[in-house]
Amino acid sequence: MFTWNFQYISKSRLEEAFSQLMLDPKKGDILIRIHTAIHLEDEAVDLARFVAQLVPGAHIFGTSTSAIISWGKISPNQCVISVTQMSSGKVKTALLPTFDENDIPIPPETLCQNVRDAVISDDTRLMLTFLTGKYRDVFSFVEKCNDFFPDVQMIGGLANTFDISLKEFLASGFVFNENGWTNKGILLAAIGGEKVECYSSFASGVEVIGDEVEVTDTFGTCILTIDGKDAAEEYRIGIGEMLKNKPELANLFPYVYADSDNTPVLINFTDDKSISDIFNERMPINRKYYADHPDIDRYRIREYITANHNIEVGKKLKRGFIYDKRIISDNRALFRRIENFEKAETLFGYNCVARSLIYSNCLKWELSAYENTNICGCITEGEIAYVDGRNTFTNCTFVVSVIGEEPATQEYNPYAFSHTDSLVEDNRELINYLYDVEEQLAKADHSESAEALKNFVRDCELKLLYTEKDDIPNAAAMNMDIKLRGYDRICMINVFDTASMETVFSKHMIDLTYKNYLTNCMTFAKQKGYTMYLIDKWQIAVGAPSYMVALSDFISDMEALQRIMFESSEEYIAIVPMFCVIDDCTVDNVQSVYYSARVEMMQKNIQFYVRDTKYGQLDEESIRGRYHTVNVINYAIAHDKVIPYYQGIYDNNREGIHHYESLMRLEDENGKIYYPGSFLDVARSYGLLYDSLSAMMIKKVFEKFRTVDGISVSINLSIRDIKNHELVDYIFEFLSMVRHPANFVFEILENEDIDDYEELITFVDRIHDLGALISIDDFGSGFSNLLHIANIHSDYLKIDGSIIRKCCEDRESENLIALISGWKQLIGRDIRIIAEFVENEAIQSKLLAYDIDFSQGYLFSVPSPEIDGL
Amino acid sequence: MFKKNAKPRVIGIILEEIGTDFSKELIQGVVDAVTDDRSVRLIVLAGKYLNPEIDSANMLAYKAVYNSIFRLDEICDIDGLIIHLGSMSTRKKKVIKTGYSEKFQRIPKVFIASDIEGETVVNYDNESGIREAVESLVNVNNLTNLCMLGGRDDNIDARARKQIFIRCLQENGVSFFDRNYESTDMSENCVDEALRLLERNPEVQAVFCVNDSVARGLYEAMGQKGLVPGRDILVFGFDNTRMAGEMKPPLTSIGADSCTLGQKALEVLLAKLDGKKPYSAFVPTRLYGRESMNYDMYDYTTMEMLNVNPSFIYRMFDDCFYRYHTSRLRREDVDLRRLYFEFIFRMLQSMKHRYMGPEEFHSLGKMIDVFFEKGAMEYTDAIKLVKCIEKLQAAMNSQPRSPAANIRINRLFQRMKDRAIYSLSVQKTVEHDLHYENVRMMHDFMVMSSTYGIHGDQKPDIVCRNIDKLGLTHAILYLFEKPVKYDLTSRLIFPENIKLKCILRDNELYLLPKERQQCLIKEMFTRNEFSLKCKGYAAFPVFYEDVLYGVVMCGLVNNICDRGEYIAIQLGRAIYLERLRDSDRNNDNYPIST
Repeated sequence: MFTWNFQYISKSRLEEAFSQLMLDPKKGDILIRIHTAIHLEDEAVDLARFVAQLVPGAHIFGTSTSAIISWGKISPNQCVISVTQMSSGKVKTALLPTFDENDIPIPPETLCQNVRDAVISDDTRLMLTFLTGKYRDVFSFVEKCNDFFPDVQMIGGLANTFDISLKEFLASGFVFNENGWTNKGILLAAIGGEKVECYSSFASGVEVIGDEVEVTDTFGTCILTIDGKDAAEEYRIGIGEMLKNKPELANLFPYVYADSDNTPVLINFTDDKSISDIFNERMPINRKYYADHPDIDRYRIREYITANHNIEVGKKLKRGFIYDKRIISDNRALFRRIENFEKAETLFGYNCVARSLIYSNCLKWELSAYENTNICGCITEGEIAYVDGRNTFTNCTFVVSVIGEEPATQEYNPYAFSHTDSLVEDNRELINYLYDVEEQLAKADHSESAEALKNFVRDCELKLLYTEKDDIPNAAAMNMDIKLRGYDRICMINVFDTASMETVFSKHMIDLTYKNYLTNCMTFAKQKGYTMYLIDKWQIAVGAPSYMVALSDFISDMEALQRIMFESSEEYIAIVPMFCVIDDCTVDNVQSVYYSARVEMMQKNIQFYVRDTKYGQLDEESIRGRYHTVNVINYAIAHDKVIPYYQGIYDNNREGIHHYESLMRLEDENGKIYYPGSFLDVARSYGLLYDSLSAMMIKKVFEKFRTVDGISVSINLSIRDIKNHELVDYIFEFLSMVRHPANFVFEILENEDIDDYEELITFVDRIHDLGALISIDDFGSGFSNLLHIANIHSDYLKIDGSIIRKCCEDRESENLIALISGWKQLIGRDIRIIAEFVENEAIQSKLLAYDIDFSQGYLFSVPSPEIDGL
Repeated sequence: MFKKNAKPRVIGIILEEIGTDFSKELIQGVVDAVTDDRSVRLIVLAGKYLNPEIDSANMLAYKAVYNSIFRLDEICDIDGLIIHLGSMSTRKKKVIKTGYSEKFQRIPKVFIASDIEGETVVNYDNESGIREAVESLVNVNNLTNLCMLGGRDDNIDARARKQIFIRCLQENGVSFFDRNYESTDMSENCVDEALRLLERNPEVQAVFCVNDSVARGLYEAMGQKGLVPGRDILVFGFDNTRMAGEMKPPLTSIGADSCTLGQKALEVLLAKLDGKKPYSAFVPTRLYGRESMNYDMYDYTTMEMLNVNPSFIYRMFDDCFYRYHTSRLRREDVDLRRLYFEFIFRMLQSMKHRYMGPEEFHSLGKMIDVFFEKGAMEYTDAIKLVKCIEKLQAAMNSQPRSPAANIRINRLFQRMKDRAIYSLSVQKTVEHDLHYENVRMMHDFMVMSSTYGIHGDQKPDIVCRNIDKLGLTHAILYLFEKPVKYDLTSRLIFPENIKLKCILRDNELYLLPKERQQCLIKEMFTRNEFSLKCKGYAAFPVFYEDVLYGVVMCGLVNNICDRGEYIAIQLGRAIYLERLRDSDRNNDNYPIST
């Protein structure tokens, strides 16, 4: 089996296409489906004849529609021609009347019999069936088909035309083939054969709400009473008073049959018609209804609800609501089933017009899972679906059949299911509305709240029903292009802080700016041959494949686009679009890379950024090393192996150890000792690990020195620790209780990114209040503002080891020591200078020459877990 | 870890000749292997091969002066050396081995195509390619009468290739006699040898040439005898140089498979510089089939094509654009391999589906255009590509498919062929234009540097001021304070200092003020003035007769390997004339207008 779809452009193009395909009925039956939204009845027949001439012997199956589905995309006002050439299977088509010569509908049983005689054979698998809205017994006809030919799956529906209305069922559709057209007929195409296998399923998206009710009186398709009460009024109360002004709202709230949750019955609400307006007395078809209701006031104008199914008295119904989450889950289930079908040679898909009117994005979204497959079909007014082994006529559903003779694969797009934002957006306001309705129902006091709802509903409806259709592909499309078409150069464009814009400018102004923003980008992308995607409101992506565009060209184009966007902001709100070009992206990494790039852009205030996804990635060895370190840290935390070491600090004046610095060490299960240099960076990057280490370390040091007399200890603190309120509170509490707070010195690292000096100074002051001391650690290793350092009234200043270590060979280092020493004399405050990394006598003598107060290093003391005399 | 702003490592490439195809290929290979992080600066030092048997006394003198360029590798700071001695005499090898200076011994070195014991060498793995060729000739073409045009016995590759060739023949049951062999000097000057071989073996069916240059000589000899390579006698060479693809008919040649000699050499040298254990490496080879001996590197089956097997398309690309995978490719650039896959895949898919719409046709045409605009022809020979496409077309057209769809596909293939052939003609035109451009530039330069002082205009350094007219994109001119006279009898001593006169960066000329010109000669290659945009430079001596004026360093762009020597000579002449005039004026012989 082989299937190809054409969008109809002209007869000559069609001729050319057919000649390329070299269709030959001798090689197998050919089915040519035509779904047209651009041809009138006679034109359509003319087209069918033309096709029949081109491919003599082909089976032509034509229907009118409002929009076509081709290659997984929906296009209104187009015509699609789909050619299926069978290998061994057979196709039979027939166009049968549904009304007799007296214009009386043919009873469903008779119709079933006629259909069976015309097209059904033993090995028929799938029957493509199209009727027109004029025949009201569709539901029972389809039901009866299950008895007449139980093994045949059916797909199809009611043809509609480009005339569509939410307010009434127009029944204007027609079906045709090369021999003519009719709006009172049934068109069939039965596909069968030994090797042919078929699978059909559907998705609806109707959520059932409320209790079961029973139809107690009807007039034709009009439901007069439900549970003995006025049906129209009951229905209106359930939805809200808005229904009177916007009767099309009824499309959102169908009924469903109580025995089958998924089959919606669409309801029409009118309040300006009489029974005779709805059911023409002169029509033969309606005479029976008038005969059944001799007493009815046929001319009284009042509200009525009419179903599009032939609802009978005694039928049990439930109220339904078309709900986005349900649409998603139904579609996902449908997709799974379709995807798993092995012989996926040809896909048929039909979708209800009601869905497109209710949710502007629903159809587009549903179909996006089938983009790149050869799915072909159209929009219908009601569908024939295969549900749980039975064919049934439904509304507001998406039906799909997949058929084939040989195993085959289609390029499905499962990414569609991870991008449902557009649907959710559509639905958000609707849900709110539903809540209100529920509330209202609960109160049963409906008249007052109706007015309050009115404005909201109007806005909401306008948005839902009349959103202008933007044809920009979405994130799912982007992911598919990345995956299947190798679009690995993506530029993410975003405008941040649009929320603050809303507080200043009018909505109108913002909308205008937004539209301009999109238009600019769209025009540019089109001109340059790039593809543009709308990821979210204000967030655009522009993509190109690396095999077509060099990165440098792509970047310069994006820079040009950014300039365009800046320039065109005169009449609109000035926006600053942020551009982030991501190179070498895959479906898996594009989001995460963009997020990390965005953080960086925000932090550094960059508006244009180029990022390679490989950038900053660690090699395998360091990743392994990292994990090992994390394990060591975790082990140390869990097994209490955070061990404070102490190194004595030598008093150069008194010539003895003055106090000790506590240094963190970790021990692993083998007893190996780890130095901070090997684990602190990893711990910092995991934040919480660092906090745990810090807390354990401080607690241990505190415990050791809680009761010690006369020996001071210094403890390292980072700015992260100072921001950790829990830890800081613990320190404060400890200091306020301890016997000698002055024994505790807190060393603050100078080289950390101190972004909030106020906070630091507050901390320092509090420490001083409590009687403890402060030391500035690693002074001279960072780029800190010296003024800040001076303002922190520290008691000690520790010169960075890198300066001390070199002071004998390097003149500059020595000068720095001299400078610090001199500064100490100048300020006249009691600050003591510590030099660390004092490794030999030469250094020590230099330090003494500059009158440095303390020395710390291997020359005097080696760090050890114990302290002599403690 | 490489530090971003550290000074680049200076890697010298020492060659006997810069203009040979082998040298050009080697230099290109090394340049391709240099990363974009500016961590390496290449300096090519190429001399002249002295051949007392052929060269006249004057020529030998010229070459001797020219070869003083080799002194630079001893005195200048260089971090590592890649050395290709080629046909340098064994004596020279000995000199290098024992080392004429202690410093030279210390520098990490990698020798290419060499057998010097105890040194790091990068050689061709001759065997794999020769075996492939012999097996194809004997087993596929059923040939039994095979000859070889070999090289000199002092050349390690020549020896090895001969041995392997004979061994492979014997293993395949084909005998090889002394009369089947003739040795050459491994250059194209081997027509006589080739003729002798042909005379001796009138029934010869295939000839293996020790390298591509020798094949050129053989072509000439065959032409004289009215024989056509590929039709009358199958010919294949070695090295797979660009010249092989441009010969008529294109020459089948054995060449590097996964990476080129240059790439491997740099890789090995950098590893050595990083303190890793030095190791010698072999570059695997394989046979690249062209007209002179039909050979399919991969089998294409019609089934694969009709089933649109993706791996088939990639294989076809690798075969056809065989230079692509050894080229240094940057991710930022257009991925031609993927692009090729995309449009061929869609074309074959259309063939399978029997339909190609005009939109698809249009978009595929555009992709093909991009493919060629982005330099696809750099990686293949036009004739090879055309052949390859024709094979595809033949396979496609032989199938009873839709003729209408096939017309479009055939038109796309035709477009590819057109672009391939067009590129061939463009290449010729560009070569011609370039030649003309060079002549014109040289003209401008000579005119400008001769117009000095007509109206008492006494601008000094008129030569330096006009260097930008030479068409060098990047260049640096070093001149000695005083010219150095070359003396054949004694060892040349360079002064310690040299003057950096002027710099060309991106065609912009910068003249250095006097106080900044001073430069230690040993720092010649490490100066910061080198343009960062250029990965490497070639050094050419600037001299006239036996007087050396200095060195011009030319960026490794354009076709500097071919033009450099000529430019340097003209520069030398211009400087000679300038100095001559200056000295005349100083001697008051200069007619000064009043």
